[in-house]
Amino acid sequence: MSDALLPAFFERNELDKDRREAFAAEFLTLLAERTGRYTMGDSTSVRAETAERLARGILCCVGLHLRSRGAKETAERSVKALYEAGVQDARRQARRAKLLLRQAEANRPPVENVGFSDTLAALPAFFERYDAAFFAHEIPCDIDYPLCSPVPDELFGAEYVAEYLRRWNMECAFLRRFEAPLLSLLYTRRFGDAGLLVNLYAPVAEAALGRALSGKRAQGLFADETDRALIYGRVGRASKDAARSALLAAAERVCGELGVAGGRDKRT
Amino acid sequence: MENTRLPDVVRKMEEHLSGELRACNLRTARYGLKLSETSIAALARRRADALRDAGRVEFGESAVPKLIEAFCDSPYLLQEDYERTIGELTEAFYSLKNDSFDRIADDELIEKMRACYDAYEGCLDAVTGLTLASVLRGRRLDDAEEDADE
Repeated sequence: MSDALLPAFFERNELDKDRREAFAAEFLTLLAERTGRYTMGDSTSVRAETAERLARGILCCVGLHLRSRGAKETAERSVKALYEAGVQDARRQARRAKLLLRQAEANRPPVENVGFSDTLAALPAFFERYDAAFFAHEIPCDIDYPLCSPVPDELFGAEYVAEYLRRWNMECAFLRRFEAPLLSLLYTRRFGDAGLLVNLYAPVAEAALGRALSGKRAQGLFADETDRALIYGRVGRASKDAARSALLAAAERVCGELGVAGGRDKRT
Repeated sequence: MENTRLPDVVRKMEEHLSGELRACNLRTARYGLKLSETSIAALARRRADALRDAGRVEFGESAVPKLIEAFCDSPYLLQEDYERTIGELTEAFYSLKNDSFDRIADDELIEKMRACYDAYEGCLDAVTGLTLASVLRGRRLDDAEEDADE
């Protein structure tokens, strides 16, 4: 079983031996109960893979609730209580993700690729198939589009999808500041015909940053030889700290010019 | 969770099964069938092995008492073969559960196994050689009849 699903207090050995043993015993009792519920009493046994999926679902809910409330609750609440609260948390995350999906559908960028369109079309299936009570950790749909800044590995299920969509919307809010022909030209020059599954935000952000570093408006996107020489002077030849400061200042200018901050669209 | 007392929990599950099998003795006595403590321990081990070999996990109640309950009144089940028969039925049961992708309920599968056992006059090979197709054959007919009724 993936260690990433084990509650952090287990990983960090925060619990004393008795509490760890009690947790394990309570967990197994709960797993037996959930397995019985899953088979609806039709079967005394399940495949090991099914038992593992059920176990991961429980751990996901427990972990989700502990992350939201803090590990101190473990001393006071039973594993079953933590799991049940975690199921509610997972359902809340799914509702949040659904709102973020509506936002994503309403705010599409001017140019899309196959990975983007397919993923957006596949995401509604997540909400039809997601089962917080049994398999809260699973993502029952295909998410192929790579984000510029991927979702951390410690997130699962609805929490992962909500965070994925939050980041997705931030990237789209940025892309919507640019004209479609300019974006298409940038993608064609950068990827040719190989841009079916690449991230759409990263090359635009890089280009906009480059323009800002060369003292030009970000929305133009393309840099000429003079711009490149300026950029090299400000970043390539500068010390690490100076380069970082220049990049941060340029990023601020880009966000200011485009009116984007914190993933929200300042124009709407 | 490697530093916990998981083996204790597993041992408790085995003890639980042993208790269930002892309780079965009370019900099977009238058919002249009884499991000794040695047989109970052997069946508990065999069930654990069968589960492991089939890649299955069982919590709480076991299917073994259900098998005993279903087969104990068969005229072909005799005391001298009792432990061996239940052991082999247990292995066949978990294997068939896997073959059916868990689409057959325990009780339904046990019923088919018992019918086959009696039809072949207690021949265990017939039961252990049951295929998914033969188990489902009657079920499809039932389903078709239900559909026709609707």
